Amino acid sequence: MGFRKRAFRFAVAPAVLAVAFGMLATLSTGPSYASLRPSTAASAKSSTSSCGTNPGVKAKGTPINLGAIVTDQPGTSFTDISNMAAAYFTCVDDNGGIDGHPIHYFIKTEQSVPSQITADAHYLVDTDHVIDMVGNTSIIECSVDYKYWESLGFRVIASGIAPQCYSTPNYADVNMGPRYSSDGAAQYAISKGIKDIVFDQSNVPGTQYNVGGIVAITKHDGVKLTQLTEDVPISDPDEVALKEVDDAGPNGAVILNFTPPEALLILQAAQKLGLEDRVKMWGCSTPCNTDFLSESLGSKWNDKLFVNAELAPPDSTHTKTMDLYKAIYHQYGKAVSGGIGSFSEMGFTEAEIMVHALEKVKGAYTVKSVNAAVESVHNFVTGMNCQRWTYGDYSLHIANNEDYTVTPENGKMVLAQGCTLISPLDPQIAAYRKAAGTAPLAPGE
Amino acid sequence: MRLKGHGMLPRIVVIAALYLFALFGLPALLSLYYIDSLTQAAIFSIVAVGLGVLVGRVGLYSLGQYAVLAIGAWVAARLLFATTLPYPVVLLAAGVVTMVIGMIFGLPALRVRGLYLALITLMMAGALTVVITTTNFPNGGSGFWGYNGSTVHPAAIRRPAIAAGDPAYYRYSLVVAAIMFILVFVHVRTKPGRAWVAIRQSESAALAAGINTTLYKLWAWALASFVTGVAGGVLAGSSHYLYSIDFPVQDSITLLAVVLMGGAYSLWGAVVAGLLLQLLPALFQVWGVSNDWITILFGIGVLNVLITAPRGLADQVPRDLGRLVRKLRAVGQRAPAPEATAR
Repeated sequence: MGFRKRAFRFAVAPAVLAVAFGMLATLSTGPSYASLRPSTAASAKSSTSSCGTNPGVKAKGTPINLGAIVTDQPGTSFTDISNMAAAYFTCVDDNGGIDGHPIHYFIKTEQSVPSQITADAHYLVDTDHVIDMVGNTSIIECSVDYKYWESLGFRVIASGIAPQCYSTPNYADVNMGPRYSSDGAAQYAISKGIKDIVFDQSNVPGTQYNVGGIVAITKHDGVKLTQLTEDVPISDPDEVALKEVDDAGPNGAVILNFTPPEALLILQAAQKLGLEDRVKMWGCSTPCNTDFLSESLGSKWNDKLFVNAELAPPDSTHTKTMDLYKAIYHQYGKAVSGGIGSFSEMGFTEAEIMVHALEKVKGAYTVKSVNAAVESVHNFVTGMNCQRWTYGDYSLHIANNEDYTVTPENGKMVLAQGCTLISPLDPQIAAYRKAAGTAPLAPGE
Repeated sequence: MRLKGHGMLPRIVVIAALYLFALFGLPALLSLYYIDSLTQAAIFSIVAVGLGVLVGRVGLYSLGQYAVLAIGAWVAARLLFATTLPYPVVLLAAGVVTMVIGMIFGLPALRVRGLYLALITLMMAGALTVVITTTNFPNGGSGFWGYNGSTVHPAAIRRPAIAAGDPAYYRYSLVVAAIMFILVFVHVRTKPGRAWVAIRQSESAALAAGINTTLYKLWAWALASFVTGVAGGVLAGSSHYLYSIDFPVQDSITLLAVVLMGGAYSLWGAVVAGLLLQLLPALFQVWGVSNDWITILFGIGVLNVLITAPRGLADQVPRDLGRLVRKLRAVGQRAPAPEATAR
């Protein structure tokens, strides 16, 4: 009895801490995008029936199994990308599938634990029997799994973050990732005469790699660069914003490389403290390109914040592809919590390329036939990228290396600068162009 | 050390059979997904058995064991990149270095215990995490830290040649776990174990009985840190890549909660804790249940265990199952014969 009492006394305090932590962990998964979703959903101009070859007929053939691994953890969630790809595949399945075959799409989430990511990959291959991966978006997945996919002969279509997403033969991305998108944001600032840049990013693996391009570009152009990192989720955005503007100075620019909720926290803190005009310009890599961010910030940031957009600005682009994307989002994208924006555009584009590749497969859908079809995608017009998109048999892939710049305007993101090539001063860009050349501009639809 | 006793031999036979089944049977039956998860469970059961020594044997609450694990992983990774030393030597070195640093962690335990000690270890773990976040884990770079942040192709941490594949590495992890469990078992069943029990019951009484409490408390920290350091070494090889974000301070709290849930007072409790920490999330992933539920479940589980079974699930489940069987038997014996009812 005495033992029980003592054990209880000594253990109850840590137990209370554990329970409190459990509640905190549950509550601290970042702000909900749902509440920030555009309130006036534009009516879709395009019917979703155009996403398949047999409109209105559900595919009932042998399924084609595809997989995805995405990061979903407090402060960093990329599930919108795979959820939008899933929405596209559902649309395809509802409209005839791939020659009558539905796509079964298996999504695994991870929390940046390498062993968990390895296990997820094994589960997808061994249990779900996926024959390729599409929509992978993870802080470290490419680093952990690239050799595994290579051993299986998979040609992964992804949204890249880690270096290996761009520097290995078996990954090709529809986005430019934090490094090249940040390059684009810095290039835009420098083109406007900025001489002091503060580059702030979340303290996750790959920070030095992410800033590698900016370091080369600023060094060449004689621009002073200050590098900062923040632990996410950000606990004191006021302090972060103050430090950024202090370091940048009145003629400088602050460039952020965060997921939308974290970037929004900093920008809202800057707005609350009246700091938006304390620097000449604010910049952001592509995750900031969402309407909800523009809506949340208000008009003070019009022509003050410039966001690198790796994919076509959804509000100012009026093409068949963009209409289809919005139509699919409205009809099938209930799980896409961030609404219209870069992340869901990426998911749409990845699924679109995969469907295009699957439609080229002759005979059975096997690992060999499907991945050969993916690799042979050449100069495909995605309708989302500036350039035509190519997978190809290269030792590295930066298939998207030309992009837009957008700025908030009355709750929307509008075009500030059209397609601009990322500078070959970034040695990785130079290496890719040497291997694959410069892809031609995609024609307007 | 006494191994003889009532029912000891059957217990050893059962444990050996279970262990051999886990070693050879499970890899043949399960997919790589579960083998990977069970490898992690084996690693974290070593961490749990170390924490069990502190909490269950000596009554010292540490909220810094994840940081201690990170030290072991860091040392092992650095040695594996810098040298061609055999893997067991690297594990031993990781254990010894972690033991030395862990003992520094344990110095406050000489003066405080309970909530204060838990807070101190939590703060120290926080400081260590800041250091590791700043320096990063080795990735094949040069210099003391062995980290190259701008590399496009970070090198993978090597595994032992005999355990390059996942099933083989699972078996390797199980063997290391068994050695660590035996090491702890030997301590628990010999003089240090008796001294720890005396200290847990009453430190003043232990001192009066001539027990060198300072020595034995530091001994406990050393043992817990050593096994945790070895676990870190095994973790390094299993992951191939290590990142500072994989060792958040708050996970030490979860670890303590799960060790209490599993049962801090028995070696079986450490096995249960390892399975709860690593296999349960893997099952939840398969069942499509959000990971957020796991933390809530652990919190509720700890409260349940503290209120109804301080010795943890490892004690509660077999005991309650036994009671259930006995009750069912008693009900069966008391039931009247059908003929008697008819008359």
